[in-house]
Amino acid sequence: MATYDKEFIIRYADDELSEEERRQFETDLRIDPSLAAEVSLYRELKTTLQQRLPSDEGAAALNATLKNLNKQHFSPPKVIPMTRWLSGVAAAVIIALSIYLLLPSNNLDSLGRTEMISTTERGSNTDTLLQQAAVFFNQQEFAKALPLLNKAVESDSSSQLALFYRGVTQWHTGANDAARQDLSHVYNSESLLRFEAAFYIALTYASEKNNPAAMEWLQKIPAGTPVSDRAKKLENKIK
Amino acid sequence: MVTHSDQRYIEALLLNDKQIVGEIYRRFAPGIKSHILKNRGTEDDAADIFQESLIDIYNQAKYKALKLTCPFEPFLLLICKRKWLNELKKRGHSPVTKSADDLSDWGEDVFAAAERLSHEEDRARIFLQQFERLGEKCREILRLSLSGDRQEKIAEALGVTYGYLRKKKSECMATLLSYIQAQKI
Repeated sequence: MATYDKEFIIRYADDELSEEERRQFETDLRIDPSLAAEVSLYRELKTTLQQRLPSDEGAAALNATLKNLNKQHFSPPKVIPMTRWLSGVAAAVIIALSIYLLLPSNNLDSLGRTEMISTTERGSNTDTLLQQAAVFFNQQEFAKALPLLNKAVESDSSSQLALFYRGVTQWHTGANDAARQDLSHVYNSESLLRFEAAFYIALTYASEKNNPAAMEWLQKIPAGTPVSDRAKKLENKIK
Repeated sequence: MVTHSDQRYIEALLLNDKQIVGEIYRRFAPGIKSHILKNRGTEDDAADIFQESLIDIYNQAKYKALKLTCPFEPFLLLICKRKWLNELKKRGHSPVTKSADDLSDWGEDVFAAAERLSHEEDRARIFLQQFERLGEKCREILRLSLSGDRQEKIAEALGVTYGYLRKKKSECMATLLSYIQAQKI
């Protein structure tokens, strides 16, 4: 019986093998439980990632509700929920911080609320800086977060996450032009955050009462993205 | 199996129905708080465990079409207790009260449903944690490759050939699989 590396197993599960390769693999699959287990694990992993990698507005909204209810039913209130379960994980793995970015107090508050998950891994400089910046975000100390995000972008100018959150931070600190520059970069990069970036660009214009420009950016957001509902609400508010 | 009338709590979590979610807190939070405080925990621990358990239930409802065939209360309590037990183990403590005492009041089906949910959510959590260990390029490629968009379109957007994208995606997935297998889940 042949031995197969992980890439071969993945290509089988993704239906990327030739007919002959597939036939041989399936013959071995029938008599090798460990091979079958690996195929099964890969399929479970792929399904999980497909479902859970996209940002989940429903979970973010529910988390906000639960946070409020926690304050009423448990005391004292927590500043950073949902992180304790990671506390026992060894240093080599991630630390995630749930963060709420709140808009400056204006009538767009409810539309600008979003959740940031910042991660760190392998001691990467950019990720460490993002993690530190996330702490200040969490405390809504945007002026302190900004220098760290500047360093994160300097450290890795391809980090769309750093550019996105620096853009949002700049908006919080009133630097709308700089915010739009970063967010435009994210929008043009084909990053998964591109429609979130378009939405925040629209918000920067909306906060300046430049409604035509805001509308122009909202129209770049198609239906079915994580921010489509909020984009529609902002559009209605502008109209 | 007939769906239990308490399925309304599951629907409330999916819809973020604040009134019914508030009812979940009023009815069930005191029991969890009491259990965790008696077992070396704090109010903060209890709040976290309660919130995380409700999010686990939300995830199962959203991604696994969870149907409740038992009452919600013991189901939630068992999930919370299992989660707290794991947390105590991480902290190097053992529980003060025996969890087996609590299980005798409820049927095996409740225990099995809670155990299945906890097991599946633990696995999903490990998958996502290990995904975050990948380098940025791998994460981006996998995010895009799994987004449902045509692979040719993704390759074009990334400025690479379709063949390169396929190869790189398999390499990244293989690395992720090896990370996960090292966790011995």
